[in-house]
Amino acid sequence: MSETQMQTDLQGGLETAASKDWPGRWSHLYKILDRRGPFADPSFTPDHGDEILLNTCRVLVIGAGGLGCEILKNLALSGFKNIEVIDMDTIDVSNLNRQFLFRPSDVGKPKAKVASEFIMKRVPGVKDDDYYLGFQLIICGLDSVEARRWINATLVNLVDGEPERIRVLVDGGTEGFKGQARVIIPTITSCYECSLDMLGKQRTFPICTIANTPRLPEHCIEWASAIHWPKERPDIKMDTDDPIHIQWLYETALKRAKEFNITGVTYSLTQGVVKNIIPAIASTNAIIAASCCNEAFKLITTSQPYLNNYMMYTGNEGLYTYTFEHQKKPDCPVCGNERVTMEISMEITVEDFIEYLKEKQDIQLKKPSLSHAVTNEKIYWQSPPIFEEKTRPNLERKLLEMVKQGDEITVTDTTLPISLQIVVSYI
Amino acid sequence: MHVDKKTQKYDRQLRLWHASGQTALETAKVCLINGTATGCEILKDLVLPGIGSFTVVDDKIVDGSDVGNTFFLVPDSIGKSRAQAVTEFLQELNEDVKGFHFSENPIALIENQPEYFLQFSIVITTNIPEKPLLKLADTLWNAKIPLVVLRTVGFIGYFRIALPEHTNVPFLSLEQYVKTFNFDTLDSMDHGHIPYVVILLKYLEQWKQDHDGKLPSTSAERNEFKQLIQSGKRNADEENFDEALSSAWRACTVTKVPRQVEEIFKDSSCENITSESSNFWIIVRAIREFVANEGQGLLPLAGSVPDMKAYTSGYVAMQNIYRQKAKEDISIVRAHVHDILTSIGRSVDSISDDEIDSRWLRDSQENIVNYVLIRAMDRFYESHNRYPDAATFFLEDDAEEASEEARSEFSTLKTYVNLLLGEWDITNYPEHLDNHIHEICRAGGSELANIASLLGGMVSQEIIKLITRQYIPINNSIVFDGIRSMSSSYIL
Amino acid sequence: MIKIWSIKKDNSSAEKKKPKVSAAQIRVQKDLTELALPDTMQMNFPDEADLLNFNLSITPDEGFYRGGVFRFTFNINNNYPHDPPKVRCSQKIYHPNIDLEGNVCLNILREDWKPVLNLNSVLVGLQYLFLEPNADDPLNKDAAEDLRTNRKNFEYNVKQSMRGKDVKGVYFDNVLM
Repeated sequence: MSETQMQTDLQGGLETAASKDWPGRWSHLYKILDRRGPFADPSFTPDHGDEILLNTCRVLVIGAGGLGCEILKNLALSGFKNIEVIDMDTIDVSNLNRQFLFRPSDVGKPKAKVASEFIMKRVPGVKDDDYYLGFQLIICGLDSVEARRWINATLVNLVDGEPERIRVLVDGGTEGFKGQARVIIPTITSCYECSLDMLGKQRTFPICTIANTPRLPEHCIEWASAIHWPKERPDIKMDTDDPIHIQWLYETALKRAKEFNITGVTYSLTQGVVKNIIPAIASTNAIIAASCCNEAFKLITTSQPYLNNYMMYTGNEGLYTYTFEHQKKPDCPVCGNERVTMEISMEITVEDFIEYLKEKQDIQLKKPSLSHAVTNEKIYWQSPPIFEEKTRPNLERKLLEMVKQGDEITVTDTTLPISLQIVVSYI
Repeated sequence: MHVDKKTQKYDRQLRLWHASGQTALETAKVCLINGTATGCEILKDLVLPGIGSFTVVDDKIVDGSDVGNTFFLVPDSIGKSRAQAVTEFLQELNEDVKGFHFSENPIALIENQPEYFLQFSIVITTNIPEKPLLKLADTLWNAKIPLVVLRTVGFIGYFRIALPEHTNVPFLSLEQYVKTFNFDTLDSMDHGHIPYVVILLKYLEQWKQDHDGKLPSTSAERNEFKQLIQSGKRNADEENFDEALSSAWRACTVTKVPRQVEEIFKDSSCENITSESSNFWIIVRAIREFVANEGQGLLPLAGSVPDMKAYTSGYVAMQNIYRQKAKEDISIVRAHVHDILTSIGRSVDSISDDEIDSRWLRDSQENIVNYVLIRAMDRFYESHNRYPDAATFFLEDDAEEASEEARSEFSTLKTYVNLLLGEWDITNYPEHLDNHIHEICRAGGSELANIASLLGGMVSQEIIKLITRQYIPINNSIVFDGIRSMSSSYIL
Repeated sequence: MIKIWSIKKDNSSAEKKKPKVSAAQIRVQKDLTELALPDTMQMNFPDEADLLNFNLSITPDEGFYRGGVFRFTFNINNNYPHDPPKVRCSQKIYHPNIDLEGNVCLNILREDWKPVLNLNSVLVGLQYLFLEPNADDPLNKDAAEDLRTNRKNFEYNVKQSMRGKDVKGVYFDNVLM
């Protein structure tokens, strides 16, 4: 993701907020910010929130799509002054039903740039700039699981055992009439990865059903894209953004559907299935984005307690929210990695070090495999055999040859939920 | 194949409500009374998906605080008509939508020309006092036009939909929920996640159809019924069907009051309630009344659903149905308790609601207090022509900082709260009531952009459900608490 | 409730940290180092630094397919274990659950995949396909039909196909050791 990031780099938005203020501008917010409340943190200081909102708080918004547009608007109206936006996309026509910072004339332009320009025009005094680090808070409004796993892992790894490096992540996601908003305090609360198994699974169908016993229009479309395309057009890479390709898939699926007396194959459904299109509407985005920004505001100003740590929303059958504390998963591959510092002799061989790990009562490893945490170089692996043989000669080498002072080793073992990170300190 | 621009633009929502819903949306005419921050947020979420037209009725002149919390105003709007200014900016969002503005005092309009509102498919009010609201509600009700009433203050939001019965939208009951499942068209994933209660009810219905409406009674019939369920299983791994099978016997028994409970009902202490009777027997008698009358032979529903293999959404939907029913049941029981207490000359609050059922009361009480507060705030407004607005809460060390005005602000609002509680016969004093009163004083009638947007999203979503007649709307009020990020649904 | 703002902010050192391997990588590493690979399975990595793409060969020591070497490619994306590994047979073989293009019909590779499953589960599943081909979930309908109606005939067809001969006019790859 990092290569494709686009940052807005806009000069000229640097006027102080005060010069942009007009009488009464913040009068709604000041009611809350200038007064103590019974539920507010005792450390809350009634003072316009200037110190935090105006001067020190920098917020990073990831995603300038349906949620992102809403988030930017809400943050700007809530007094946040330093906001940066990252998005990788350009604007498409199908964004216009909810991504309200864009107009038909913007189609094809980069989202992050258009969105931030719009916000600065409409809500004066907000500046974006291109510092990447030093954000107090990151708000994520992404539709991709992969991108969210990436930012989550990045923020958890950033902590590196030092609590002052914690950066709070507020994450929002929607799908049709449903959504969720959550507060992730890396290493302390459950993280995005911890809840991966709560995600609705992508709809997939048994390949044998697709091949032999189709019942649904989706089965026919999957057949066209997963089985018939590779067979008929093995040399052409399918591009789901190419309308001619979609047209081919649609016609192929339609033919197959007729053969099996299945109805319901449409161009739109074909597109939906092969691109895995998730329905998205303005109202759900508004609810989730506003909830994220409300949490961001409460977190930053301490004017009210913040969400601990998950709110689920469903609007298709009545209106229901469920607020609960999602628990950290011990075997989470992102935040479940235990991290210890070990003092070891500079003379120790890899084999002796492994023996030492097995004997060490407090960790109780059985068959540890070791790699360098940054280079990923294999130090010694118990399996598969091909790597066992390759790394066996390392057993006689000194650990120091492969792992320098202060470097980290990733250890995996059947007795560990996921892995153990050992920081090496030679004595 | 040619896909037109409009279909492309609305692709992501057409996947939810299809062309029929879109057409309904495009012919709907929405009226917003008062172009507040929350009002504009509702319209934004309706203009973007392509509502037919919107009209803003508002005679306010834009001031600095409006521009501060409303995205659809700029500093240059200050001094101009709010109706006109927000309409212009909202209209920019979607060229397919027509926007109108009417710079007229809404209260005067309701008073003098209520028929003006009959041209709309739905009317939304923000910040309208109770009296004109009642008149508007009356007018719209008779014309079968839905009315949405909305309030936000500080971190709290509330809305209610007044929906004339004729509007014919699907309200959810367990029976109807079961009907939303078409087992045959579900894919294996969905099929493997049908909640078992739904499986049982679906096959029981089928059985009854084939057996003159009778339940399986003999052991042979029960086995046959199990076979029927078994036959619906698509593969050996479908745990939800196993769950249904293991509970099949329950579906075959006519639900009735357990024998032990019947015995208790027959106890003479239950029969002869006097002023000396203990709370326990009074409650038992109230439950007996429920069983004999409203319960039609059944005990009040406990309202908890055992865990079962299902999608979260499906499980939650069912939980809601159970809870809703449980709430209704328990409030009937409570009414019986009160009747009994009155008849024996004891005060109705001598048995706390907690004793009757502590679980649901705690659930809903915390949020209903916010509704009470909003209504009390409106009463305050009616007599003072302004909202309660003062710093009334202080840490213990500097409690003396509270000014005389602040103290009186707090106690005035509290008086209104108590008046309302009295009017509604709410006798158990809500927990932390003072804290909630402090919060309302602190909020000072303010409208926060985040809460405006959140409530705006909720309201617009309900309006879309009503207009498209798809999905299930709320019945009939929602209270959202942005301090604890929780919402509750009430029938008010 | 954690008091985030009592934690002092330090922005300067944040950029010095080197990026660590991704969650998907660590998970694959855990899966690989804990594999209990039987003698009938071998793995090789075209690029040993790339743990996400590798080949697997299965040499069944019993059943219809004894004596053959069956090759599969594994392709794991960065969304593992949210997404299952993509597995294809790289030879054209006669098997009820593997089609002529190499698609494999194994439930845990698609609709029944869960993040708690791991590479070992997939290997066990593949191994099982060669010991007990399943005629009820066919991908190669002809082969499944043969297995269902005439096991002897099926066995003969398997032997023919493994030698690189044709079955009903369709030629298969020679997979004999």
